[in-house]
Amino acid sequence: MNAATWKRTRWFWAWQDEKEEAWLEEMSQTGWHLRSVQIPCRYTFAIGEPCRTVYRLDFRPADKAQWQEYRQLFEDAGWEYVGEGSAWRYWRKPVATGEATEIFTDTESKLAKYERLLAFTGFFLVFLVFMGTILFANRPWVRSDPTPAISAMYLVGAILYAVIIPLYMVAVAQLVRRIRRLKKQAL
Amino acid sequence: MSGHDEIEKYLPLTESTYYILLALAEPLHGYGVMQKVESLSEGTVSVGPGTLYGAFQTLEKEALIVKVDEEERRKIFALTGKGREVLRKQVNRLAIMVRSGSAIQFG
Repeated sequence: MNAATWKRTRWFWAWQDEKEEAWLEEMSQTGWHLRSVQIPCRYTFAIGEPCRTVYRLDFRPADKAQWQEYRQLFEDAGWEYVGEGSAWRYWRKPVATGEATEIFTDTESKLAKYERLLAFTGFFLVFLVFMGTILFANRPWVRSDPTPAISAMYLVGAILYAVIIPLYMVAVAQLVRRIRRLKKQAL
Repeated sequence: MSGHDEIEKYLPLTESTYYILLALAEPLHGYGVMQKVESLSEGTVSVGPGTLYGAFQTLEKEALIVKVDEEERRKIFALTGKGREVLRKQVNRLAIMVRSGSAIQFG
């Protein structure tokens, strides 16, 4: 009942989903099984018997009307839904011999997943740049009238922005590279 | 000729799509399709749920398959006339591929 739990935060980049899957699998081999995903990168594990479980991540922004059908299809194929963080859907399945361990079985559908992810990331980048232009372009923290608290807030915000935007650019570039590599495989 | 191009634009089908359409020659739900693809392809092709979900969405949008029923959150799909025509043309193409390939002596 009161099984030991362990909360862990682990950052992962948009293009490193396979590394994340491998890590979750290693955790299950040491007896720590993913119990829930709170926000992205924030996991709760529960201790149990060590076993080999494969984890697979799908990227699927909310589609409420289709959700039941989507979930049913996975469950019928033997996959258990663990949770969702920022549109990443976490699925797992105990490894048994002769059982399929992939949720995507052809290059086209793998490509489609990364294209969904790229569209989402790219849209967010454009949105960030747009908002940044409105909020910070005329350097509001050096204006003569504002209170120090508001100036400081603007400055911190601008610095955060200056960090986040390049990160998103890297993510978009990495995803584009990933998609190109997959396209080469599709002979 | 638009009717002709309407069909040709889908060809050639990927191996997964081919078997999914083939499985839907009779109405089936998702898991049924996965099992049938496995047996029709003699174990050479398996379709994961992520792949199948995406394929259903695309094929339904293109009107190659249609939902004919629903059982406890499981949609049951079947081929449309257009889907059947696409499948027929694909089978023709495959027959030509096999015929031309059989003419070669291997090893």
